[in-house]
Amino acid sequence: MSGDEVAYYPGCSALTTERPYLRTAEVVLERLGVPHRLIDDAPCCGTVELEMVDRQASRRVAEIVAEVAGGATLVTGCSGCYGTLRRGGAEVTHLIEFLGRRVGAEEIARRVVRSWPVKVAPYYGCQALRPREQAIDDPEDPQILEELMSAVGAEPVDFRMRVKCCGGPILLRRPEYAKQMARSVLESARDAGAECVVTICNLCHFMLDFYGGGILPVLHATQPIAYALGEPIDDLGLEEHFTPVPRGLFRP
Amino acid sequence: MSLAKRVLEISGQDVTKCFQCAECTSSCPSAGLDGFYPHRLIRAILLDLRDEVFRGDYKLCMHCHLCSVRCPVGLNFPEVAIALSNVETKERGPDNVERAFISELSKRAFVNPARVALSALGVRVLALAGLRGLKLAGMLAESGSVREEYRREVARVVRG
Ligand code: SF4
Ligand code: SF4
Repeated sequence: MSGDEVAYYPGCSALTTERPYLRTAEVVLERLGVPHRLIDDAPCCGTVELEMVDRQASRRVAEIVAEVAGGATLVTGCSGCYGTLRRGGAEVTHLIEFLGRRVGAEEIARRVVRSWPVKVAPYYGCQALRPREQAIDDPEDPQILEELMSAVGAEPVDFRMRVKCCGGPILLRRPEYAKQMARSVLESARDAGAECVVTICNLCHFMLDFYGGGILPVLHATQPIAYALGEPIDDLGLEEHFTPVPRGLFRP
Repeated sequence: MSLAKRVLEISGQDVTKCFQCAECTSSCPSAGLDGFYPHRLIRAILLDLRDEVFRGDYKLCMHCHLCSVRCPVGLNFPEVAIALSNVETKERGPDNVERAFISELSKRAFVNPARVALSALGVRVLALAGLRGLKLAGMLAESGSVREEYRREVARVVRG
């Protein structure tokens, strides 16, 4: 790996309901030998709500976060933060792009110590793919997450909702409709034969894990990667999920 | 100043380029929700129909950007929605959901989704002794019963 340091911006919910994402993101960087530090003193990105109130304020927040990162590569695992900070003008890389393109799926495959042979539905949501200028891969037909999942031994399945919205952005305005969207993501993954879904965003994960009706377990993409790189099952934070994750999903 | 001009100023989006093909609306997961149709909204902006524009349905845009990658003239609807909202906030102040976010941000610099959800619903957060702060959330995972309680709390908060 290059000697560039990563400054990891977790996003607020990675400190509350999505802690296993932060934990396993750090594990993955660690095990891949990427020098990194956690940004734990920068403000919330403000999300689209702050943009809705004041575009300029949102730009200032992005500036502050970029400043805190200093000369390091600013990386976040939350697609929501990624989108907001990019729109605010910060130079930021999505964790999945960092893993898939900077480190590379082949390099990760080379370091796998145990395979994860599971039928998985790679769910992208929106903010990492669109608008086009911010896309980490093709805005409507991405492959980067499939590549990472194949690298750890999983079998990715195609499903109808994989690049559609989780409903999160209108959860507070139209809760019933938002929850229906979350459920339809999981239903389409189940109908495609997946054993679980993996996400790449704090909010997507919260929506699917909490509101998905328990249809399928929902993992952060970094959990199976950390597992394949040798992290003990007990340290993946599986018990912190709202929808129980059967331990059989990680066959020791 | 016309709405179209203000939108252009704030977001750089030139809605006069729209030729009403409705590709946006046919891509849109929110289309039809409370009468929201992105192409109609663009038309209302073009005609400067302020009452129609500020009915508020533009806030049902999920910012999924499916429309903006498909629009033949490259219009970015979510940016238009942001510009409209900025205009509206200047004139009438933020709505409840936005107000909740902002007050949370200005007090603590980070957002606890549960607190935001509560204040968006008009509940005074101070009165909620049961709702744990962000820093304490780590404890929650440790004990099953606390987690159940937290889950119920979040469910109550988010479901209203
Ligand atoms: S897709 Fe673009 S050009 Fe077509 S109606 Fe929508 S905004 Fe107008
Ligand atoms: S960005 Fe908004 S208007 Fe465009 S398709 Fe998505 S929800 Fe509809």
